Amino acid sequence: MSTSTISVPRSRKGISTILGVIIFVGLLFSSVLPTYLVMREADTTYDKEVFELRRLDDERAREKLYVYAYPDSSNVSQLKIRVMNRCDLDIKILRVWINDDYKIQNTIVSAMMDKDLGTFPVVLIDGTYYLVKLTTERGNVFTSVLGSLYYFNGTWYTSELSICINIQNDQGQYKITVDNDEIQFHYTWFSDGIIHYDFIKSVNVTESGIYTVRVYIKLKGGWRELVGSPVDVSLDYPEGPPIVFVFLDGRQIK
Amino acid sequence: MSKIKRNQRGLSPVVASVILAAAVISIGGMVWGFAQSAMVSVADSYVEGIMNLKDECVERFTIEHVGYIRSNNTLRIWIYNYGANNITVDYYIEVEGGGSTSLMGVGIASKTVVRSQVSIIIAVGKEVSIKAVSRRGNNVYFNYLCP
Repeated sequence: MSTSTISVPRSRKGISTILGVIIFVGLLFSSVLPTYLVMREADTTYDKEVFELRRLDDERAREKLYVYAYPDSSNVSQLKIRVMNRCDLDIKILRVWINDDYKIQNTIVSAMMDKDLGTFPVVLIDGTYYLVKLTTERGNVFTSVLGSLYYFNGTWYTSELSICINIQNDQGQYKITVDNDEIQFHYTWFSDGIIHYDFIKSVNVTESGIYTVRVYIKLKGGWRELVGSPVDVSLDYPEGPPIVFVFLDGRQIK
Repeated sequence: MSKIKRNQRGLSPVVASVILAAAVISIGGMVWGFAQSAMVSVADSYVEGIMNLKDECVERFTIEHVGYIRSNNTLRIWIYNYGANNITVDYYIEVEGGGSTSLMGVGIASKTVVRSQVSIIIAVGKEVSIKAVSRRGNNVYFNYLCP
């Protein structure tokens, strides 16, 4: 049996062009693609860092710490410091400043919790103001809400005893009463019309004791008490801070 | 002696093809090498730019405390670097009603507080404006009322 090869003459003029283009594109990609990947990687790293940073900045802005510094009744040359964390984050306190000196602290105050930082010795100089502030790990500096303490002639001078009532509010007209029947202390306050923002009402009281705070909001012509009201607060200065805080939500009505 | 005469008509196309292929490969290689090095250079420059920008963005520092010692006219400034990078800071201090000074190149490691001090005369009750500028271009300000 014999075989014969039949060859069909074809035009091969385009093959080298196609091959050339494929090789060219291949070479181009082999140099451009790694560059593109490296650049994308850098972009991703940057985006990650910026995202993380935004989160940290947000956390820093949300930190809310009330600092109370007041003289220790048992030792005149010491200050007691109490802190109230009023945000939903744990706060790490790094330093406690008393005027131009600081003490390293490294204390974590859990979210929405209070903590006594203890007593801190001060060098007493007549006629000197002592300002206490705390530095947190996130870079916030919180000053004592009681302001500077003044020492003169063996006596500390602090701000007046008061109850500080914080109301979270969208809008509403409010009535606040503070009562202590034992010492016949009665106080009533009405807001001037409708309030459209969160507000704080400070009520000065005459002496230590247990006070009952009631907060009402006006609804359909009548006064309705807020959820959480009445609140019994105990002022036991100088054993405790001269200011106590009450937090209520004006959007939650009984 | 007899000479064998060979047909050399097919030789020149082969040589030409080899030469052509060599030329194409070497020129292609050169172009590819050039493109590759250009791309690497572009990528390096881009990545460096991005990393510098990132370092600039992640810088976080604050003037934590300022105090003045009247007995030796010394203004003390505490800066807390709560960011992830080490920083170098320059201070520019201006006193209300005249007087200014500066302090250059204070290095602050990440997560540390550093005290710096400058000699300057500040009258009682005068306000001092302090500006701290990092070498990456971030600023923080602090106003201090001299007791």
